[in-house]
Amino acid sequence: MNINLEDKATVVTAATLEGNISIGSYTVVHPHAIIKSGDGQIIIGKNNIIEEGVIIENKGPPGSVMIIGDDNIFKVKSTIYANQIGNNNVFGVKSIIGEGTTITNLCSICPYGEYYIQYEPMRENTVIYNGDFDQRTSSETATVGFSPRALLPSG
Amino acid sequence: MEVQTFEYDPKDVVETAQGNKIHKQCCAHGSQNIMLSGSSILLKDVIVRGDMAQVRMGKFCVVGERTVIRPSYKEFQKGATYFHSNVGDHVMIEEDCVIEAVQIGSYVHIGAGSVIGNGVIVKDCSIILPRSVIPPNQIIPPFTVFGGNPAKQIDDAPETTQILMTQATTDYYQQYVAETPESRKKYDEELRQEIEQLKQLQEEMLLSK
Repeated sequence: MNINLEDKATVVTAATLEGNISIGSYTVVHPHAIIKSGDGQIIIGKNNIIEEGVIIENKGPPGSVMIIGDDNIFKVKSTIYANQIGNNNVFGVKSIIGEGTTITNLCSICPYGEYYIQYEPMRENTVIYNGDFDQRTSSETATVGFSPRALLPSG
Repeated sequence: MEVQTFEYDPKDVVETAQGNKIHKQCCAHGSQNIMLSGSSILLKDVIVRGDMAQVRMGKFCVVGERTVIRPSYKEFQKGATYFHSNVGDHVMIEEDCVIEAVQIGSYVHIGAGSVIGNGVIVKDCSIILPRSVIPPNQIIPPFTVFGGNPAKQIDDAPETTQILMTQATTDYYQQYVAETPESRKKYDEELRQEIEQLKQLQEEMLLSK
């Protein structure tokens, strides 16, 4: 049990953190989120938003490290078991990212979206959309200057 | 249509002066910002985020299990702000929904597992089918049936939606009652009888072998 919060990270007491976890500055963890490192470790970067009911779990072998980059948004009730996640991704409501997957940067996954491919990292700018999980490449660039601090509860 | 009675353990549910029935495992954050007009039911494991902005609900609302209601936000150049979210009267929200709407009108039915995106306005008397996903910033017109991922208009809602929803929610409220000791005894006896029947069956099976 070793939880390391950097300066200005916000973790609500109603969230559940278990194991070896470090959370970067300006990251917000909302109530009822569950982060479990298992036998390994989880490193979460800066400016992430982790909303209610999100499950982030490291299911890898003992000693494995799950790395999450900066500026990601994990929407309500999404389930993340990926090995590695880059920057500026959006994981939609109730989406599932399977074990052993690698997500690069600027990816967007729709509500109820799923991704399980292990042998190949998800390419940059991939968008998974609609109920059939169609894929396309978006031309959007990263939004700069949006801080999750502005979305904090006022109380 | 007659609704069957739902009986809860009186230890698990709080009934307020205005007749709201709130399960004790329901997580209302920032309760000073959550306004229930009365006769509403919040079932188990419902999450309402009142700490970010005000959430107002009308009369005879039913919110199903594990639903999340959170206010919507808008990004501006200088940051972002949360908006108040309003839910009208006689609204039925079923289980596992995620609702980030600005406004939900009256007499709306939202099916199980629906995801209502950020900044959506759902007008009166509309029906949203189970597991539909409404993308952000849409307006659902009145008297429509929406469904699918992403949600599209499938049909028109019947003109009697108002009456049907009023009836359904008031029926639900009246049938959602505390368990009395007598009904508890009745259930226990039924259970015991069932167990005895199962035991007999087991013995017969063993004998036949």
